[in-house]
Amino acid sequence: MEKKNLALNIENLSVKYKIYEGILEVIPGLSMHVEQAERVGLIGETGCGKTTVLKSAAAVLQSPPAIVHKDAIEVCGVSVDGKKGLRSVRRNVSMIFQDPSSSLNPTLKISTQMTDILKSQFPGKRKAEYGQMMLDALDSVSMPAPERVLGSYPVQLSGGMRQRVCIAMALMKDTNLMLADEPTTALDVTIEEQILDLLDKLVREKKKSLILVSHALGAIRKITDRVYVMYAGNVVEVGKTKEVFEHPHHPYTIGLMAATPKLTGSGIADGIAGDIPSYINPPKGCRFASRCPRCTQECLEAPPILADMEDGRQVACHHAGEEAAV
Amino acid sequence: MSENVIQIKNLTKQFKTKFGTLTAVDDVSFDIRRGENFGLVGESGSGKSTIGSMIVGTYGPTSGSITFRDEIDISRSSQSREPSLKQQIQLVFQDPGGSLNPRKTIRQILSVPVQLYAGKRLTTAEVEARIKGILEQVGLPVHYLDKYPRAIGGGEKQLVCVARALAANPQFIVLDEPTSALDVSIQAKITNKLIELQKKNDLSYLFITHNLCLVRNMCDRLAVMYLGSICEYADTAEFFENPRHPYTQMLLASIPVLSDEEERLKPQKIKSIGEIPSPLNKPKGCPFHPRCPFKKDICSQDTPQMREVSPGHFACCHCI
Amino acid sequence: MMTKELKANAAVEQGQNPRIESLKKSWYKFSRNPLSMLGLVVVLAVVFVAVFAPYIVPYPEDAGLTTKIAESFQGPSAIHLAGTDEYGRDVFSRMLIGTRSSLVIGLLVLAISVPLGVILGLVAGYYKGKLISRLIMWVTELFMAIPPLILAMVVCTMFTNGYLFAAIGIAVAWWPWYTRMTYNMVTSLSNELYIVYTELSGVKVLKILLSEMLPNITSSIVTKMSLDMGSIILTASSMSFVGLGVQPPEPSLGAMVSDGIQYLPEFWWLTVMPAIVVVLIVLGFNLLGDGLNDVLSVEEK
Repeated sequence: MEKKNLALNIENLSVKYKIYEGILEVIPGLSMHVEQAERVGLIGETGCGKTTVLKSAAAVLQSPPAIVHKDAIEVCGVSVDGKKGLRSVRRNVSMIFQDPSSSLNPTLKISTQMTDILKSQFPGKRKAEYGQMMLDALDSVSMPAPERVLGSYPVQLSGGMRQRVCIAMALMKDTNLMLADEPTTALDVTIEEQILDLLDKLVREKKKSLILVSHALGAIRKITDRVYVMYAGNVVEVGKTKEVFEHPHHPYTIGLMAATPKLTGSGIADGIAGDIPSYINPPKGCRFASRCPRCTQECLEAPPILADMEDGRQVACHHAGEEAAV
Repeated sequence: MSENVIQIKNLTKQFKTKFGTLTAVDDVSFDIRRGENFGLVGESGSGKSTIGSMIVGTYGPTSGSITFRDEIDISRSSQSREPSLKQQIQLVFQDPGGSLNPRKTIRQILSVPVQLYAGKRLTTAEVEARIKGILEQVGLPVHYLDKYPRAIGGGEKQLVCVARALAANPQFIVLDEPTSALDVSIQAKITNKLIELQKKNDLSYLFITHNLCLVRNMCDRLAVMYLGSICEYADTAEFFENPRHPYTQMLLASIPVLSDEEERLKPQKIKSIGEIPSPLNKPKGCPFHPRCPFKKDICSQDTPQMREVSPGHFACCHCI
Repeated sequence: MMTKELKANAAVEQGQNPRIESLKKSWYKFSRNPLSMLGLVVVLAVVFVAVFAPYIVPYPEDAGLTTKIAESFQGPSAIHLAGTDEYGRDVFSRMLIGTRSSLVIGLLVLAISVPLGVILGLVAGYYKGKLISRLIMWVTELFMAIPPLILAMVVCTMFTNGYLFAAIGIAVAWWPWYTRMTYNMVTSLSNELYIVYTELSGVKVLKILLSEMLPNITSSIVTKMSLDMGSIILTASSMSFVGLGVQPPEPSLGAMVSDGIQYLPEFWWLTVMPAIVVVLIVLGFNLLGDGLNDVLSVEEK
């Protein structure tokens, strides 16, 4: 694998916080990468550290309070450290957030906010040219009545339209890597479908790399090629999206899929008993051990490492491959 | 013949706002049978939560009626309701964090309904015994009684909310998106617990949600709402096999699913288009017509009437 | 989960109260901020001085009408830490005793204005939009429109001049701020789901106000009380500066500053020393208030 060609490369990232009760070991050591024009999903539930990973990739994780150690975080081959790194991140990364209403400034018209971005990206053009670029951008996200939208304030738009504006703004920057943090969680189902289709189409057309972070498994399945499953700060399973959804290997992934209510009406599995372990003095073995049906002595003693399986999947489990009934 | 717990007839609720009159619920009728888990599904602005609020009495309806157990008219706000009525109809909110007082321990929270609805003065030991019994029913350990809400997880908070509703010993519980704020693995636990409690305590539920998959797996019947009106209303199995209303089909087609098997169950011919209009300026005629791929001229002029398309299956569309 | 449960069980067995645990945590956060700690130390020192002033001052007799002409106008020295005044009285002793009266006035004002303001605020907030609420808020705003010092002076001159009436005078100007704050907090609390729930279940209004709402606003009230203590002492000093409140010969910080002005600049300690004490007290209470605010507002999340 040629490292230079990676859109994002994170090696051995660890993040800790010091608080009253002790030290929060949020992420013990995580590596992930995104290839050019690859669409990667990041699945995880509340508090599993997925947003922390995303923030480190975009170089916006505040440190302190976070205590960060890493071997490397590189965006398009350039380390994110220092001023030069930050500039590279700004040039190469764009973000879409969960809540489209708080990522737009409520006191400025959409046109003003979009012009600001254009001016920083393409300085020294005439007003009319900027206007045309904005219309094109809104057009590319299939915005109905783009002229009217440009003259509106964010509150005058619906949630779906605001998210379209955010995507249009993210696309105006000619970036390589797009980070989408739960972009459809705040939207209604029928609108979510439209936004996911749109993201899918745009990312394919413009050959961008995408990280889609979500707890909605269906959304990840719909538009990503490869998926990372995170649990309590660790990556527990990596593989081609289609394969992971068809045959999950890690007990956590299996439990998660089973707990999701299905359209087939086959009832709801009882979920995964228990809770995410505390990040203060986390279990020294596998962090999933206390909730795992396969747990043995080995799991309580040593943390599993993310190991390659025969089918090209990577799973962090001492009992990977033993497809016991869960 | 099963008895109805709740019967809703021509229920309408309008709110006066700065921008004009907002019709949140528009001429809605349905009934919830005894021992039934009735799903009320809709996207934002569909008026599903407004119906729930009227049943528990946050406010009264503008017109129409709500009848409890075929005899008691409850079309008014909670202040004018009998205490026994408040006891029989309970409520669980979507946001478990916000619905528990952060300054009270779980014990203090649960003792409020226990004492309020006991009908007589209870001794501390009686209250304690009852609280412990309820906590056990929802499956939380007893030492949680001394914890504050912030010290427990989201799913556990929601279980405390359920316990608080159960403490009143109700017949009917309105569940307003009880699992929407929770993670999938926890959601499963709560929904299964809710089903278990329903059977054990002979409860009826109104389950308000936007998640059709959840309804598929836990409700007996359901109604789908769009912009204040019911589009379709049927038994769960019949509904998912044979969705008739174009909006219902669009909703089903939009669900992001986990397997090809489920993918095949979705209506194939329809694709989601358009925006949900603001309830403040609802389209004339059928509220869904601007997004409907099958619309005819009549759809933009006349409001369609609810019709029985097959026994027990109602839909509200000109084109069926 | 297992470990968590074990830990919790252990906590229960050891008799650890969650309330005490949370207090410990608050104290940890508070103690990590040096400014808050400074405030706490100053306030504790002020309270200590106020309680024990008559027993610890070097010249207790100087609180009254003693004259030692031979010792008048001495600068700060080892014998008279803050010098002496025109009658030869020890300024340091008089300052400590003056601190006592300042603190007593402050406590009196809070004792009157906080219960009054909070009760009115609770009622007005709960019945928002009703006549009683509008009436209360109308009176509140009326009182807020008049500068506190002037209002206090009016009350003081209308009745007898002295300790108690100075406190009443300031309290009359102070309660509206508590009403206003409580009103705002109660109206926003009314939208919280747990309040909605108790209302729907038919819990009595008095119980909702006292057992559901009040615990949620106490931390803000306590914080405001600490911050206000400084301002009240300052107001009391301003009043004694113009001759209202504590009456001579009893020492008060404001009056000492005011009396000393005529001897400026040669005998600067007569003004500067008590002024520094006022500043120190006000600063101490403000720092403590800020510290409490940080800790308690985090606690709510």
